Amino acid sequence: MNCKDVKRYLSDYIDGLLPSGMKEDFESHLNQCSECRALVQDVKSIQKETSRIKIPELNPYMFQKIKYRVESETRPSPFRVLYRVAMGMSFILTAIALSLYFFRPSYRFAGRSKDLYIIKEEQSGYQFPVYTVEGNYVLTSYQGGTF
Amino acid sequence: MSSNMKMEEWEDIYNAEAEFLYRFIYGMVQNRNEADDILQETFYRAIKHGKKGVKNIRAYLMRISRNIIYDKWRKRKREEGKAIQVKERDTMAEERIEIERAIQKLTPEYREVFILREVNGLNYEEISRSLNIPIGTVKSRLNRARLELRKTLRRKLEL
Repeated sequence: MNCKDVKRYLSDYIDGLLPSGMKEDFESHLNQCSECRALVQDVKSIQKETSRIKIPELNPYMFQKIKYRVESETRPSPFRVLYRVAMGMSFILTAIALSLYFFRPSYRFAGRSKDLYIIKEEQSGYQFPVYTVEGNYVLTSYQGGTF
Repeated sequence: MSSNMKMEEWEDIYNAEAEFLYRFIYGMVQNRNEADDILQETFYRAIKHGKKGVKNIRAYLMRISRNIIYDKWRKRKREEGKAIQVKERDTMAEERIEIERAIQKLTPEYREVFILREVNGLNYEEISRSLNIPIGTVKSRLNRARLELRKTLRRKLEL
């Protein structure tokens, strides 16, 4: 083993991963080479000092902070709630308006009911045909102009 | 996402992984406030994205935290053209300060492997799984990191 090999297998040696035969070769080279010996000692010292680096205590409330952040962002804001209510109401009002438009008791459909009776112009006093439902007059379509 | 059950599940994951992750993050940034922020952001993103299809939760959290750290460094480099460094150093021994400075000079790839080995105490296989890189890469990066550190510190420390 030479100096280049020592650099190559340095980590394996430091971490105790060299196979026994290679480890003997490695150490035999260290005994002969002061530079490589210094290298290994330096790296071991760095390792020792690094292990002494003080890691601060973890904030005990950290998870509560994370939880609060996640929940506050997934919780809808008051404006969002208002917006949803307004959208819901406008949908309901639109539905009511549309149903009134299509299903209103229009004179256009009055003639289709079996309960309708035609009343002659002279009987109703109007100048066009008029139907009645249970005694109430219902205007029918009038092609001659406005009522 | 967050039903109470899911948050409880995440709390268990937090209790199991936060300490390990914090050591890694602090080792990388060496600043308490920044490490706190990164840890919080890591879990926040993990919870928001969920862990569907995640097989190794530690590797998943590591990936998120590394992305955050690297993004911060890139942003800082663009904005300031210099590295991070505001620290709580007053109580540290001079040697350790020098070592921390030298660690900061390592490239991110070498630094993360070195921190996982020396600060988190992982073995090569665990580092390989955490970073999702081959063991051979772990070995070579660790070796290079140690040699670089030694080179940087040689003139400064009485090792």
